[in-house]
Amino acid sequence: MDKIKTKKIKKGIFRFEAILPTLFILGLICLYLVFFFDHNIRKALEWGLTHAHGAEVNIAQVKTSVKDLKVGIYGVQFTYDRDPKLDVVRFDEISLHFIWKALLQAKYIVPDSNIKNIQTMVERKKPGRVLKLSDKTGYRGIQSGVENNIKEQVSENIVSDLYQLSKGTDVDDQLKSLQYELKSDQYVKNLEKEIKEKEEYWKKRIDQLPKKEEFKKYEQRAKALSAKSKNGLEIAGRVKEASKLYKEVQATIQSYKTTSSDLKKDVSKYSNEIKGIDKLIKSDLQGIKNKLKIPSINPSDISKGVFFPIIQSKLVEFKRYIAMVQSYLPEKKKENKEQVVVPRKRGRGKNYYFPKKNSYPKFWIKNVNVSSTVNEKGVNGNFAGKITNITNNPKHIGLPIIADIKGDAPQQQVRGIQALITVDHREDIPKETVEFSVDSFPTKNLVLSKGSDLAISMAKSLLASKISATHSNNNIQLNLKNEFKQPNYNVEGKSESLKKVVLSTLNKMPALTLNGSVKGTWKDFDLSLNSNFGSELSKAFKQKINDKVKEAEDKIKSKLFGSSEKAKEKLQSRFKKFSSGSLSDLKGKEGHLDKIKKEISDLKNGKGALKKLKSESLKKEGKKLLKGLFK
Amino acid sequence: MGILLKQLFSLIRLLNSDTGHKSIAAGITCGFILGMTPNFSLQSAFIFVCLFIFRIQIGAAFVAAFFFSFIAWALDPVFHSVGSTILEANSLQSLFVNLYNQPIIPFTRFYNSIVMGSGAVSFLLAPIIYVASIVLIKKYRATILERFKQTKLWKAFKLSVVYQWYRKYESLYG
Repeated sequence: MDKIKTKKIKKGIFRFEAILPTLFILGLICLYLVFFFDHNIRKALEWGLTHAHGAEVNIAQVKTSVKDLKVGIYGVQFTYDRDPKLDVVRFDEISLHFIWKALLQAKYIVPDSNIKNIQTMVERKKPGRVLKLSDKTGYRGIQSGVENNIKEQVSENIVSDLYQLSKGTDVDDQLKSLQYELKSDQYVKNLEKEIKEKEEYWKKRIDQLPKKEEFKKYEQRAKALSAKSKNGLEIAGRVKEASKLYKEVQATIQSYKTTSSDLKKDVSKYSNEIKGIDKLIKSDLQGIKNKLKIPSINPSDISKGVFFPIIQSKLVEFKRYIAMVQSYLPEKKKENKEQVVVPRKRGRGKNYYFPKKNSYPKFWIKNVNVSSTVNEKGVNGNFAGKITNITNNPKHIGLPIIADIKGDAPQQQVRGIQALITVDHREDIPKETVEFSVDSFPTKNLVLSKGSDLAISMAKSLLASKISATHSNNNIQLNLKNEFKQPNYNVEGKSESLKKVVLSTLNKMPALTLNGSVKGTWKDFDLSLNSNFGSELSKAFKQKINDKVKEAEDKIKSKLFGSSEKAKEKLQSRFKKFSSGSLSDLKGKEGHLDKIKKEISDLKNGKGALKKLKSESLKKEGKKLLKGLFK
Repeated sequence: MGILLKQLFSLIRLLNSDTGHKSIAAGITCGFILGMTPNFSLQSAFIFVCLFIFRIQIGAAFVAAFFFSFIAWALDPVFHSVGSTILEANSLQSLFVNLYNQPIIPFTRFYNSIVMGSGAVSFLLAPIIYVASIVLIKKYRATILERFKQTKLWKAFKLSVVYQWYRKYESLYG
């Protein structure tokens, strides 16, 4: 069966037959490195940078030299995501020169590199692709938090609000739609009910008091007691009766006094409660004013409202780049980080570092020379500067990343640009600082305020700006100083008078200043802004706005509190009438009783004479008895 | 599942073939080292070079690497603790500092706890795996394979036309 037998050849330990295939494979690798490697690196860089930047990044050419360990990247264009027709920055050449000694230790060290011919805001041949927010990695999708925080702190278009208020119609419209429960209204209703009940109670109580008929009876009884008599026993009986009557009248007077005192207490109590209506009306008015957002004439508020878009864009930009830097540097271990169960990846483990003194970190670009000179080829900026110590391990080298660049772009009339960026991750709490200033930067069509009723824009101006920002441990501190010189304003609005006021105010100012600061965390920060625009505009508007605010307040008062006020007045007069009537009635009756009491008191004074009379008649009786004994 | 079965069949085919048992055992040992190593590193490249230079059964190496990588995945925590213990050993610190700053050596990624742990374990167990493989292959061929060849079913199959065609194909292109 086994006719077909293979010839068994004794084979040695080495696989000599694999030499040719191995050489062939090595040859293919070499061919790939020569012809395709640079192209693939270029494509990979374009893809990576596009996703990191969030907009299309183009690279014209990548040249690598294995022998010299040199990488040259040419014609790098970063599309401006807000205007894809422009490149936000363009470099003619970026060259990196690695060193063999470090590379053999699996470390990527670039002692010296160059960035040549930087251009900014250059028109692209064709518009670049901008990634959707969801496609953007890391730092690109973080702007909404900052925007919301600013929106909470500023009235988006305060100038327009002021105009709305100055027209006087806004309040009416807003009141119609406003759902606000008036505390004063409810209080008046309750008080009205309570006072009505009290009135009834007092009427009843006063009715229960002895009336005029009883007073007459007291008078009649007193009159009867005051009739002349020589009979001692009769006199004694009358005195006794007078004493009894006196006590009765005294008790009646006391009941009147108690009633009067109690009534006075209630009068005082309810007078105070009626006065309380005013306080509640004030509180209700304030509540409604808050709901209506009646603007105060605070220059700072005006500045905040007007410069909202400018500050917002600056903060969002700052946060974006902080997040970008942080995403490439080692992160501080987060405590209490929520544990999420994810499938385990193989081979993560823990990397141990065994650095020697003065040894290299894993990645380190020691020095990047930035240079750019205006030339005929279209380079539009003169820049010079250095970026030092870009590394993955700043703690090891003990130096922060510092970028110090100065320059200007004469073609674009941008002069005196200075940027000093420090990224210090040497300590556990990293700190990033940015100092940026530009002496002169032409602005075009800068919208300051955009509303349907009033829109203010700057057709052109020269901006001098200084920004200093610090970020550490999620805390930010940003100071901004801007001065718009030679401004040319455009004011659009429905009201001609308003346009005039605004335009004349703006034209009076030689330069528009905008100074501000932001302090706090990304989630919760305080925004402080001041501008001569705010103060000047508020001065011009102040009287007008004051009148209109007062008018609006009066309108709210009459519209919402008219009924409460009337009810209060009615209640006050009614209560006054009732209380004063009752009190004067009680007082009159009390007076009457006092008079009766006095008369009875006089009768009581007859008690002494009666005593005298009693002793004389006893003497006479005694004498008669003695005379009978001696007869 | 398909890949798994394919790998399994190719291993059985290899064991049933005339390939030398030492060559297959060496392949299994290399595959063991490859499978245990978490990612491509200098030692993996070294093993590949060995596979090409020496007469080691490449198929056995790849099949073994495929199966051992599953075991290694489960053993990662063990490798991590072994690696950490070695890397944290005070007596070895100066050695590691020197190695870390030497040329080429850092490409082994020895400073990673799992690479170190899996490397130490796999290189220590490699001779055992080699010897065990030889013993098992010999035993398999002497007992199971021979017994199977003596079965009537196999004998009948060997007489079939299909088998003849297979033998012919094997001798020409196998």
